[in-house]
This record gives sequence, structure tokens and C-alpha cells, in this order.
Amino acid sequence: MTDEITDRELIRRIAREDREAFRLFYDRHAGRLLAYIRMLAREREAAEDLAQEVLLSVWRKAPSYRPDRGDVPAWLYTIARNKLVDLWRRRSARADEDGAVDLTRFESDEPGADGRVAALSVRQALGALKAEQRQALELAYFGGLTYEETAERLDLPLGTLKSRIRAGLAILRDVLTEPGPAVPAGTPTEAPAP
Amino acid sequence: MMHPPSETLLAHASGHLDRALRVVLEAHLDHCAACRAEVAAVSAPGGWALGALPRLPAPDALWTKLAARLDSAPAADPIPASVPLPLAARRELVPGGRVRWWRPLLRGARLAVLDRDDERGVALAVAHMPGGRVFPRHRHLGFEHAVVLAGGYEDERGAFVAGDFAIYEPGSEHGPHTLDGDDCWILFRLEGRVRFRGWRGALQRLIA
Repeated sequence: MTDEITDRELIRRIAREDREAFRLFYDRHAGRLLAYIRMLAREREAAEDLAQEVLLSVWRKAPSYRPDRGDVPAWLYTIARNKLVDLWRRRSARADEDGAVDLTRFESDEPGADGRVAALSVRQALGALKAEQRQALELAYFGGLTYEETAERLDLPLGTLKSRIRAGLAILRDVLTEPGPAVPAGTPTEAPAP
Repeated sequence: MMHPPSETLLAHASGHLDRALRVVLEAHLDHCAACRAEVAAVSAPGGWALGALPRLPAPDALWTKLAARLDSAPAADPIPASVPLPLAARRELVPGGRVRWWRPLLRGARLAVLDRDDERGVALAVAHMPGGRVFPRHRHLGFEHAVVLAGGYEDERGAFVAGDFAIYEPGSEHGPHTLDGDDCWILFRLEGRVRFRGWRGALQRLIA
């Protein structure tokens, strides 16, 4: 029953301070949100605190959500990233010294609303990236380094780094928005050849 | 319309803007469908990636803590409703607190600092001036990012009206005046200080 309620409808209801809708939103998104934050936060407790801050922001910001600035998961991702980077600024702390997110961990085999398996789609998309684009995204878009830190790590001018990120995101968007065949849940999701 | 650079929109989507700049950018996004579409485009891969993660069990204890905070969290932002600040920008601000207005040496003008990061020397402020007034000429020692919330102003770079986004680089100098007609409201993020010209500059140096 609850699966029939779209994210957008949930946000509309949360904007009216509907706690039941917020609980449904929590059940639907908190697990993955926590998984992402744990990839980047050093301590389990810190990850839960941060997830709490992100979800509290969802509660506060729901009245200002506009669908034309991104779907709800993208909006949630941006809120989470802002909270993470704010925390790093305050504490001068990083998730791990490497700072990169291992993109092979995006491996859920649950089908999305369109019947495609999200992880398979994301892996296909990642396989379309050049190594240098993937590295830039792993560090500065999905991972735990600032643009400046990433540029220094990769020994690149800042402008070149941003160009790689932008080009990489454009490729991800192209691949991920291509209409693809529905994939039944549980289909093995092989990582693309490097 | 004057827009922020694409890299600012990308930085917003991936969490790399400080709070003050997020507030300024959100105020622009409220006016600008083109920049909202660009934010949607650059944040989409993050949403897809989040959806591709294996779902961890969401702990009941976390929900309990969260629900308790909904009861105690101050809902209101500190900005009076009379300030034409869009809701998305308001919701970026820390809730609670109180806004203190001060009046610069300029008839009818008032300013309020909304947020401050002393460690990084960044302040977020809103300025309110009647139409048809001249703001004293000044030089920026650090970046200023500004968005017009209502009314408008003009300087050597052109006319800026509601929704327009402006960047003044360190070392740049301008002498804006508000457009005739409606009151002008400007939201701005300032790094470092500004130096006024003329007697105001002399006074500024005297009391510094």
C-alpha cells in the first residue's frame, strides 16, 4: 500500500507536517542514506547523528521542495552532501584518509520504480566513464574530498578537475536516462570490465 | 537574468558550498527555472547512486531520536516575514535566534547580519534601501556574492533586478545606486571587508 505513494506525494505531506508520511519517508530512504553516510563517516555513531541531521533538514525543507530542481533522491543526496561537507569543515575531519568512495559498493539488486535494477544501471554508467573522469567523481562528487583537495591529490589545475567532473556527470546522465529493458530483481549485476 | 557560474551550481549539488553561499544561491534559484534545471541535471547522478546502495535496516532508535527532535526543534527561521527572502533560502538558515538591524550612515538604509563564520571571515547579510538612493562607492577586499531579492540597483556593470546574481571579485570597486521606485532588498555573502571611498573611508580608517 505504502509503495503506491510517490516520493513527491510524501514530501507534499511532510510539508504539511504529516508525521505518518515522514515515517514512511524514513522507512523508504533512511537505510540507504545511512549506508551512504557510513561510507564516508568515520564512526558509526557519527553516521547516525549525521543521518538524523539530514532527515531533520528534510522535515524543515519539505515546504520549499520544487520538483523542477531534481527528483526527491537527488534532492536528498544534495542535502546529505551539504551536511557531510559542513561537518568536515567544522572538524577538519575526513571519512578515511583516502577520501574516495568505492563505487562498486553501489550494488543493491532491488528494482526501481521503472523496473530497472538501480545498481546495474549505475554500474553500466560507471563503465562508460574514462578512468580519469571516474577518479574525479569518486573523490569529489561521491567521495570525501573538496575540489581543492582533489585537484592537489590528482595534481591537476582546478579548472581541469571541474571539467572532468562535469563531463563525467554528463555521461552518467546520458547512460542512466537511456530507456533500458526491465531487469527482474535478483539478476546478477556484473561489474563492467575496466 | 544574471546567473551564477555553472561551477557554482555543480558545487551546490555536490555539497561544496558554505551555508552563506547556499542561502544566496537558493534565493537565485527561486527566481530562475534555467538554473533549477541545471541543478536537477548535476544532482541526478547522486540520487541514482543513493538508490543503488544496499538498504541498511533503518534503526528504530534513530527514528525515536528524530521524532523527539521534531517536538523540540524551533521551526521558525529568524528572519521577519517582511524581508522578501524565499522559503528555500530561509530554510537553509539555522532556526531560532534573532535578527538585529543596524543603520549605516545612509538615509533610509538598514542592514542585518544573518549568519557569520568568523573562522573563515564570511558573513551573510541583507540590505534594505529605498529606491533612488546612492550607496557609497567602495572596494571589495574579498569576494562578494549577491542576489537582488526585490527592487533593483545599477552600477558600472549594469542594472540588477530581482533574482539577478552578481559576483564582485577581490579588488573590484563599484558605486551602486538603487533604481527609482520600489525599495531594494539585496542578500549578500561577503568575504573579508569593504573599504569606502571619501569621508566614509577616512572615518572607517579612523575607527578601525
